[in-house]
Amino acid sequence: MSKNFISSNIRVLRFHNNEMTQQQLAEAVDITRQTIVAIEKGKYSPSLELAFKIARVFDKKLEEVFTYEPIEEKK
Amino acid sequence: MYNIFDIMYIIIYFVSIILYIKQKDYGTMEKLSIEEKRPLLSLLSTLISFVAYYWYVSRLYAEKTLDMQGEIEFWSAVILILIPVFVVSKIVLMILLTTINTIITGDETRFDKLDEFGKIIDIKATRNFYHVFIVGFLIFLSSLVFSFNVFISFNIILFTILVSAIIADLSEFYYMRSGV
Repeated sequence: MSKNFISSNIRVLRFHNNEMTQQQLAEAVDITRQTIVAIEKGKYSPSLELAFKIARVFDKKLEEVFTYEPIEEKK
Repeated sequence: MYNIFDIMYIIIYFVSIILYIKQKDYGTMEKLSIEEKRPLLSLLSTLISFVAYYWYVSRLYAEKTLDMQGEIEFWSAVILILIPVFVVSKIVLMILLTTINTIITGDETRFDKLDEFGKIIDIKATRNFYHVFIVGFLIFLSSLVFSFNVFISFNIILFTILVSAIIADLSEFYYMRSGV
């Protein structure tokens, strides 16, 4: 399984956005709730288009929603 | 011997188990999502349609007395017909489940709806299908080279299709749970 280096703070942003549910966010960006669950748990890195859509829902910049944290692999 | 109502009862029983299956996830009990149910139900439909089809074909085969050429033609037709049987059974299952799910939960989400995450998983599951199928196909060719019985050779390819389909459904469920 490939490692996902992209983490998100969607859960926090949902909470601060009138406690928006995963289903509501999924409907807002036209994807399934399962995908939101996978992104929140760091099991899936969304496409650039989807990342922008999610950031737009929260009215935030992309960097405020997603962060890239590469982990040094042992040689 | 089972009659049609017994079989229908068994199918409905298993479908209801899968639709309402519960499991532990991060300390909370939650239902499987539609996307997680889909591969499980697809697996169920594959198994049911294969068993029913194979049972029918076996009865047909037992009634016939075929020479070598006749056997090759018979089993080739069996494999060719198996593919539309799988396709039709899955289409019927998806329509039925979407209808049942809409009636029970009021949620009109289609069972076969795929977003970008679902498409990647679908591609990976199909890749696994082909990997298993290629191995089975090579075994089938080897069996022909080493002059196995026609019945055994064609049954190898028939069961290869079944195992590949099972692997595809299980991979879809696995990727849906563990991510890609």
